[in-house]
Amino acid sequence: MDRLRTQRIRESVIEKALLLCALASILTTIGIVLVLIFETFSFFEEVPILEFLTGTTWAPMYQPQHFGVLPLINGTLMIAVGAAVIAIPLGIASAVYLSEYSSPKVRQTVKPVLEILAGIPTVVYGYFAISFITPLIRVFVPDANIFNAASASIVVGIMILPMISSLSEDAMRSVPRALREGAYALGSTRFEVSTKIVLPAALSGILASFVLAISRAVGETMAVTLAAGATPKMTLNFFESIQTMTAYIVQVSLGDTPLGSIEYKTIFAVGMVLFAMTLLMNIISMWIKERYREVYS
Amino acid sequence: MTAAIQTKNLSAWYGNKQALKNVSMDLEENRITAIIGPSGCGKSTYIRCLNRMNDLIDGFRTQGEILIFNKDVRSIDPVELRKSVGMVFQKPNPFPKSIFENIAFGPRIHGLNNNGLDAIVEESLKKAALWDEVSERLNDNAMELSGGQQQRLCIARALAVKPKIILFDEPCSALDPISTSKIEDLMLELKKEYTQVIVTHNMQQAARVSDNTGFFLYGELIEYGGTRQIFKKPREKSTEDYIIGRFG
Amino acid sequence: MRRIKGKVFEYLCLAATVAALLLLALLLLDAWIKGAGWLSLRFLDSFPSRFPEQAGIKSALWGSVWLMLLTAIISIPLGVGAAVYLEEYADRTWLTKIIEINISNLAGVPSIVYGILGLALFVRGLMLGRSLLAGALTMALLILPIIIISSQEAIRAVPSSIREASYALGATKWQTVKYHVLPAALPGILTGNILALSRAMGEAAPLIMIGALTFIAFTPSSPLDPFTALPIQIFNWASRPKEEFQYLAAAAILVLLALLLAMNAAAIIIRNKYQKYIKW
Repeated sequence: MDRLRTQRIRESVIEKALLLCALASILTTIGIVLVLIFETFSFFEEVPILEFLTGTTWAPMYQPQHFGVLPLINGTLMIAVGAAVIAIPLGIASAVYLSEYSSPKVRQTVKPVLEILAGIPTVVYGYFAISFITPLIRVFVPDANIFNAASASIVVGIMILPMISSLSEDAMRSVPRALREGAYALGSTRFEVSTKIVLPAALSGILASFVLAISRAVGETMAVTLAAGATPKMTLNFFESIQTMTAYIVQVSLGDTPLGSIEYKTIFAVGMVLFAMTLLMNIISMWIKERYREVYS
Repeated sequence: MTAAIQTKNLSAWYGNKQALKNVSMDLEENRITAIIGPSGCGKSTYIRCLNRMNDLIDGFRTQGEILIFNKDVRSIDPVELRKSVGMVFQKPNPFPKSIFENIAFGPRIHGLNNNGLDAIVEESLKKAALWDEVSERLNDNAMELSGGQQQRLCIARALAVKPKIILFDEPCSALDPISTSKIEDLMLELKKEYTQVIVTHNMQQAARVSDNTGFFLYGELIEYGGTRQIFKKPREKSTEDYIIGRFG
Repeated sequence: MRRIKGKVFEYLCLAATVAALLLLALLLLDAWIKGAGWLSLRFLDSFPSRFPEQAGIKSALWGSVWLMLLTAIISIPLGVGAAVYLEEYADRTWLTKIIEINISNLAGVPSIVYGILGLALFVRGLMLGRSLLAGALTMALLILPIIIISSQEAIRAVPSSIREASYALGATKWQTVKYHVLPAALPGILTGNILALSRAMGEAAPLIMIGALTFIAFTPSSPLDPFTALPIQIFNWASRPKEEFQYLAAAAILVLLALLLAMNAAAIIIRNKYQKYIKW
């Protein structure tokens, strides 16, 4: 009987330890939120929240200082939109090809290769942008800046392409066979089945992949730091140098900013905006996917 | 004859779905009791209550009493309970380890040190009529055995923890006729020492091996009695219909 | 007409797929052309330098190796433990639901935000400074969601008949997990963990945040030493205007990609070997 008691104690100790492991992830989230909120509040003690959210000049490093975050958001959105313009058509077309046209053998070779593309470190994409894409752009647009939004958009687009392609392909392949067969039985061509049956049926899964991929582009750091420049400005010209939120955070961290200084606090305020944006997108993506799952279960 | 297992007014639910309704039956010691009935009738649920395997399922609950040798199963730690009530499953499920390790696992977790293990492994395999086939390759992976051998290994594994009762949940449904008859012979052999309960959808099997038979339908125990009587002269119309194959 | 439209569509889709593959080839080719000539044993065994022809990645390489080891030591027990809890112990309560939603959300948080957390919590809060340990803790949190999710999948793939067999013999939950579930899930867990670590291997942003230095002329000898890592070294060289440094960056990229390729190959080999070994 004594053996049974020690065994029971051991079991419950182990269970509690494992629960602690699972709670570590909750603690991480709490840590992120607390750290961001704490320093952001102390930032807003010095800079009015309205100026931060509506100001159109971002110049915390120079006198006179300006703390309008809009130029950074502008830069971030330019990259996200530019990347989406490249990745969405390519991603969805390759997803259609892999799901509806290719032989299983081709799919089994191409998908892992796309996964390799997704596994390449972002700093490598950054290098690729400045060493290959930017010179190429400057051949066609000679007065493009050395650092420009277009180059960064292109590599970020390449970076998120596998994500869109692979998630959309999953969504399309989970469209029930019966739907396709029904359409073929009515004499539809493969093209009609793909565009009129499969794409609409998989739409929410595809949309979820877009949102997720764009969220990834918003949070992308190394490629935009290397290729897009460090000049926060309100522009829509892709051939100019800009700055994203992430690139700004890196820029500050590379210098030696004293703890408690206003520059140090800007990291957290900008980080907060970034975190809120990506979180919102992830939630939207999950929500879309959740709705979609209800349809086919 | 004493009852090894007594069930009194046992009802069971998976969430809101009732799987057993007021089942009362006493199972005799050192006898083989067969539980028959169409699929979904609650026969598997019933025997999985006897070793509290259903406790592992979320939302499962029971009402009523089960006594194993006059002790309420709910008062026994499931670990102790399952030590004395062994189980053999529908599909052979050896651990993906060596034959030796499969048998040795049970005795080991119940506190036996390595010294007695060789003897227990040999004894259990002999009882399960598998020793002659595997004695030369105890260190081979159990997954390499044939289906019938795997199932006998699972029986040997159950015997190794020295249970008093063994539950068989459709033990032959995944096996060929020759392997099946080996398992049935084995069950008859084991009768001397163990109380056995077998759930089966194969009525010939129930007739061949069991002493008593209970017929379940829609979660209720319709009829229970000597196997000979149940198959020759069932009292209930539905039992007769099931046995002569009118449904099921 | 319908048929022509269909063919055009098919070729467009094919072209998009080929384009994605070509881009990958182009990227590798670009790094190879520029960097291959700079690869040498001396490059692997020299510290960074102002003079490109003397510069190497010794400190970055060792920093990355150290960082991966420490990150693995911290994140694997934590992540596998969490996965075991969620799959084997937790009831489907609100708590487990929150934990799981939280994990999938964490997986989508940008890596630089983990860097901000690491900066405030480990570098300043725990006063670990710009040390390997601070970097490893940050990286561990970053890859924790990936480790948990992939370990959960591996554990879920273990058939429940194995658990039933173990419980039916009177094994406790932990005995079942320790002797049967974890050994059977181990190859899958290893594969997932290696892939997660390879993600950490290529991350630069969080390390820049916590202040991993870009110029270090020694190899770390304790977890509290300052350090640099391969992606940081690549970033540093790539952001310099002088052309030779671009070539150095390309050479370092080749080394990094080779390491990642080796890790991925190891993961695939483990997975294939396991698939051959057990068929449920």
